[in-house]
Amino acid sequence: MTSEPGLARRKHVMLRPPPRRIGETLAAYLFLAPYLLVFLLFLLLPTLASIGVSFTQWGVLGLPRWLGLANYRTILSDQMFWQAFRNTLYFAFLTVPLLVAGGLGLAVLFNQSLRGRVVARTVVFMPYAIMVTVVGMLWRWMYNANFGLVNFYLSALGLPQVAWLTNVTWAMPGVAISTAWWQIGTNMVIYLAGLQEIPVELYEAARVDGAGPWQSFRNITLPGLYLVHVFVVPLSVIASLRAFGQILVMTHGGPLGSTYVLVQHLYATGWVNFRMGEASAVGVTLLLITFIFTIFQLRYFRAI
Amino acid sequence: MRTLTIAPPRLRTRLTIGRVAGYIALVATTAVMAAPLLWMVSTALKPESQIFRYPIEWIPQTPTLDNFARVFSDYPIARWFFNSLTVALLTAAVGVPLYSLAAYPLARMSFPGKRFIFLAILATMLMPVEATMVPLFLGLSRLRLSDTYMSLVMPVVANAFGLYLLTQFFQTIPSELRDAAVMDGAGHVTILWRIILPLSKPALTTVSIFTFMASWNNFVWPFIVTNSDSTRTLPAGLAALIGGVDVGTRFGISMASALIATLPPVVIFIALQRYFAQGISLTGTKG
Repeated sequence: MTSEPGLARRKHVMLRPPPRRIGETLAAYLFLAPYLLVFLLFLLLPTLASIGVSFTQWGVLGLPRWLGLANYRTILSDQMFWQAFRNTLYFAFLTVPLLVAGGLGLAVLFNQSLRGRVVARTVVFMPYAIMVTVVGMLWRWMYNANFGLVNFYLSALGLPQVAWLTNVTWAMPGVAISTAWWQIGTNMVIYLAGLQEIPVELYEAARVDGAGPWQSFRNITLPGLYLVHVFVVPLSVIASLRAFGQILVMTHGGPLGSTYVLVQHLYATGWVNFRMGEASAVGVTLLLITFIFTIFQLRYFRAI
Repeated sequence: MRTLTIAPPRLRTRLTIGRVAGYIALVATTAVMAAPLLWMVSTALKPESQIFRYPIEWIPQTPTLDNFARVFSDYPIARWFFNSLTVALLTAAVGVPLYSLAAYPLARMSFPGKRFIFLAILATMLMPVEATMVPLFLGLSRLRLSDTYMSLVMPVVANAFGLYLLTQFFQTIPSELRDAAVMDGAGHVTILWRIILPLSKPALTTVSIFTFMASWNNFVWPFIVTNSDSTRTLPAGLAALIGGVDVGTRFGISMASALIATLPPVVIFIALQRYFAQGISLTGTKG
């Protein structure tokens, strides 16, 4: 019963193949072929292979040996993995609000007709052009306990000094602040573009109705930026889950593993301890964590 | 047309409390954001004896280029710089033509499998590429291709961001132009080459810059896959140099090398800022 209409449809297609469409399809795939080849070889295949490798014992030399789920049992019973997992979540918990709320706040500020806002925007966006290693080097010096700029101005403001990167409590907030400094301009630019798309008439109508600035922001700006939130929030979370370079240079995961994150655990497992199978299992776990986080957020925003 | 109208009386906006607060916030933000960069320059220009001063001094008493001379004589930073530049240029030179070709059917043609391919590409943009590093490293090592320029270029080319950006741009080009060309009997290659690409010059500039920057800033993979100075890129080299106990608290040398790595992209950035902002905002609002 069910196969009959399907068959008929297929027959219909087979009997009358629109000749131009096959040419179109062929042309389309010819255009796509060079990129798809690189995409398959250097992105898709390695992604799928990482799942395969995670089930094996695999050194840089020699043949792989099938282990089943043993690598996952090993990494999940490893204290360091859970420490890295907790630290990564903590890092995301600290940076994402700074990046999202901060980026939005700066965008709203620089969207006012203030003199000098163009220069200010450039300055805020500029750290985007700085490479991750330099961010780490620069802030290692900024956070220097005795001669660093941060502590100097903290005490100038009458606040207590902190041994930022050598203190178990303050190392992670320190790393998070420097990351926010580095990335906040990107979110600001995206939010600025989003603000331009909100019709000015809405604000004027609200003012006529007696709405204050906070009410306008709450009822027009925030919902008007819906599409931007759907983009900015998940991407900021993903970037936080992947953080590594600036942390490696600033603290090397220390002190006492307080800034040791998942990508460093992946790196240490694979390229310090040379356990490629286990490193791959860490990579797949990172992939799953990112995936779950993204799905939850898109659900929250009702994007899927 | 509007030049003749008399300026409205409220052209000079009054300084309300809100505006004063706005200016305070603007100045404070700019100062906080600029301070680390200015501090980098200041430290790099100080002789070692003047770096550890308290209270701090913004202007070096006796500015010197000694730190730069030491960086160039003690570390192969010039070679790393050359490697980074070559790899980034190669990545853009290989990537942008591939993205242009692939974006055309995705934006302009209908064919079976299009939706699937587009979604697969989008999904990888949300993926942590770190997960692919182990198989990529094992595969390239077996093929004796690790520690080559190729191993640094291709994984960044595979990143779909540039393709996504170009697809978005191509979709904004009015289809009437294409239809007219089809009437004249133009094939897809002609349409892409004669109509789409010439109209997309700003887009192509944006994508070239982004591809260049993606490679220039790429860290984890080059850090892993390079193990000699002949291929080591700047971010990888600097991390090895600073990560080791080599530099320690010699912040003059550290900041001088940081400045060397920062000046070229910042100059490019200020000159071409429009394209950066355009690329970033297009992905955010049109996606």
